[in-house]
Amino acid sequence: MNAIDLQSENRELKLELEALQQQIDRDNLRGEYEQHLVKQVLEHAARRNFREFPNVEHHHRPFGFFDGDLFLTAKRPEGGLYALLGDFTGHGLSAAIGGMPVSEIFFSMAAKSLSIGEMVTEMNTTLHRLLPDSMFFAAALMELDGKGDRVNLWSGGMQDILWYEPAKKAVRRLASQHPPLGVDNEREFDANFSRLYCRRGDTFLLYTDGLVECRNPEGDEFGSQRLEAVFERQPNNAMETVLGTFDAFICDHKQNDDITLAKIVCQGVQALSG
Amino acid sequence: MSINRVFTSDEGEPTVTINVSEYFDYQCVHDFRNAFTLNCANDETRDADYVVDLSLTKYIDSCALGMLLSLDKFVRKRARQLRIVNCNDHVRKIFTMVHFDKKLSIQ
Repeated sequence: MNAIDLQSENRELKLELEALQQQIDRDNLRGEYEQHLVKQVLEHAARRNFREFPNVEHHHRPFGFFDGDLFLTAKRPEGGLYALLGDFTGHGLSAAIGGMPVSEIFFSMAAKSLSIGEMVTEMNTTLHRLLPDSMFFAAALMELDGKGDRVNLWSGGMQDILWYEPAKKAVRRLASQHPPLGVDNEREFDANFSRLYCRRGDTFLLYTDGLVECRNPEGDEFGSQRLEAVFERQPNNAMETVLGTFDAFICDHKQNDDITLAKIVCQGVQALSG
Repeated sequence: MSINRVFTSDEGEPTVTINVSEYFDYQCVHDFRNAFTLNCANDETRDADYVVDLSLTKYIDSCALGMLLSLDKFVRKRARQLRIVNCNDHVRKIFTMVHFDKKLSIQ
């Protein structure tokens, strides 16, 4: 091959490379545009959340662009509130997409004052039908009555929920009662929930596994024991102290899952007006 | 290799054993699915029971749990059995949390 042939071959390769690069750039742009559209739809679905409860706080740290954790809150028409914290299998878009049917069911059933037993039944049926076999939704649903001393709780596949009672100055653990939503078929599904008698000021801490399974640079998990100890020391400032302790523990080590922490205090919540 | 598949037929009992490595998570999805779906239609594995061996596994995530459900469904359709063996305490605790200890055969 002479020098002239080589030169022209080089030029052709260069053009080919440029064309490929342009194609990649176009595909990336289109991908980004589509992701933003989907994200907007998901954000619109989340707008129905009522976030003004004085007794509810939450903190959210998605791992990537899409969030596979879901925290929903709604008013109970006769007073009180409903809350849902859940975590879809995996993370990213596939996990976030499952949030659509769940939030639609949650808000429409909350507006009708239906029980959390009815909510989980409907969610399970829908998710079992929609999701592939290998995907499910670990979730806890809570219903606090208007006076703030009765809590109904259904939890499936979730980390232990922590319940602090000021009267006893102690934390109780409420273990997951069921498999996650979307696993069982309608015949197998168990919608039974616990009825808890609380005192005003009792505090519940809910969290997804991203929080307790996150590791520090030495490879140790943050773990639920550490979480429980911090919560028991500082139940009133639980959000700040837990997150502060967590950040100090993992010291800039990258999180590898979505993280959500939520605190719900038992107190009276007024009925909807008008 | 994170997933390794071994077929044995000792005493006429065909068994597919899937060995999983230290991390059983979303990165294994593809290999794990292949371990029971590739060439599954017309070979000696048709009548096999399945065993998932977790003796090396220290960490398991929700994607892995999903894969086990998927395999369980596959095995049930063939009226065969799935056993999950050699779980460490941490992995066993996660199975309990999601109540898979009541749905799957875990040893």
